[in-house]
Amino acid sequence: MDNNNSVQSVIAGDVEIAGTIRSAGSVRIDGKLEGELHCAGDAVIGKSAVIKGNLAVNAVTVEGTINGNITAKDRIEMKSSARVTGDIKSKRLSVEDGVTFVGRSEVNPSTPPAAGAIPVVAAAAAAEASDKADAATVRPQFARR
Amino acid sequence: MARYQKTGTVDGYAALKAAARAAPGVHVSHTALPAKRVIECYKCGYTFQQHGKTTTTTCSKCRHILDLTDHTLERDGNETIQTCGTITIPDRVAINGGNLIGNDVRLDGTLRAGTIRALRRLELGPGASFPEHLVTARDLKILRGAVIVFEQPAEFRDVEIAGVMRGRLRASGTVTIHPGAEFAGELTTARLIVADGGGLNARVRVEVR
Repeated sequence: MDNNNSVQSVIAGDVEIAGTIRSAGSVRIDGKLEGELHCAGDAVIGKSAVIKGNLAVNAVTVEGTINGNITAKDRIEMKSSARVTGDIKSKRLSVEDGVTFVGRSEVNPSTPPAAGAIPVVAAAAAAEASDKADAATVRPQFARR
Repeated sequence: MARYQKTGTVDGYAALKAAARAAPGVHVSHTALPAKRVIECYKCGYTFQQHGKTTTTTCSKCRHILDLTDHTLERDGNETIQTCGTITIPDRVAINGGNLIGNDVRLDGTLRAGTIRALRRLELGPGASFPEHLVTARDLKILRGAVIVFEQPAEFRDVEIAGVMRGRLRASGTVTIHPGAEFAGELTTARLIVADGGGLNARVRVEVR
């Protein structure tokens, strides 16, 4: 996500926008935004960025200043230079030492992930557990004999 | 003629360098220094360093003879222990009285009466059960598997959460939430670190004052 090459839209540091930004891809903001950001992809809020408004994104990396609520489907990553005033809601969160954050946090990584997004390790563990469960159901049948 | 080099300080390193000079071909790169140990006096609170291993020492400030050994309680009791080492209360061990003072305390059992005072860090395990007003510590660590609920507002310096903690927490230092751990409630701290996979369901205020 930090890689600029994968970012489709860039709001440069000398740009100020008042209004709502909607993007189907990923966005990097280094300028000022007074309004909402709706992004189906990933967003990077650069160090020089100042946002006054809510963010609804898939995943976001925050290095700048946000005065508003952040709702991320996947994850919120706050770098050490981040300053966030507002509520955050996400499945995963990582916060680096040095951030300023005032607001309500709602992050539950233990919530079961969406179908098809099960990590390999978890899937293997689930299969193993399933095998064990099968073995457990077989054992009483042996006992009955 | 042997090369003479004036040495300002004669310590273990200087002695070994001298030995290396006396026996050419022997290479001495560095010496192993005895491990340093930070000790906090449980009488006056003075902090000093101690080299090497020993079971007792004298406080550099108040001259009190300090116990440096670690203690593990094997059965229920009400004894008073004062040590600069670690006190461990294992699972299924209950404390029915007495005062436990240690530099570090690991509580995995039950505190029914008496007090626990950790001068540095208190570690709470999965079996920990205690009335909050009987326990004081500077730093707190909640171990993996432990679910700790604080009914009263809790204040510490550094807090490390590897298990689950619920309540109102005010930390003057750093709060660290490890992967798989969770904090729920109200959090006020100077510094916050949340590792990927850590849960945070709280009203949060992270500000360096």
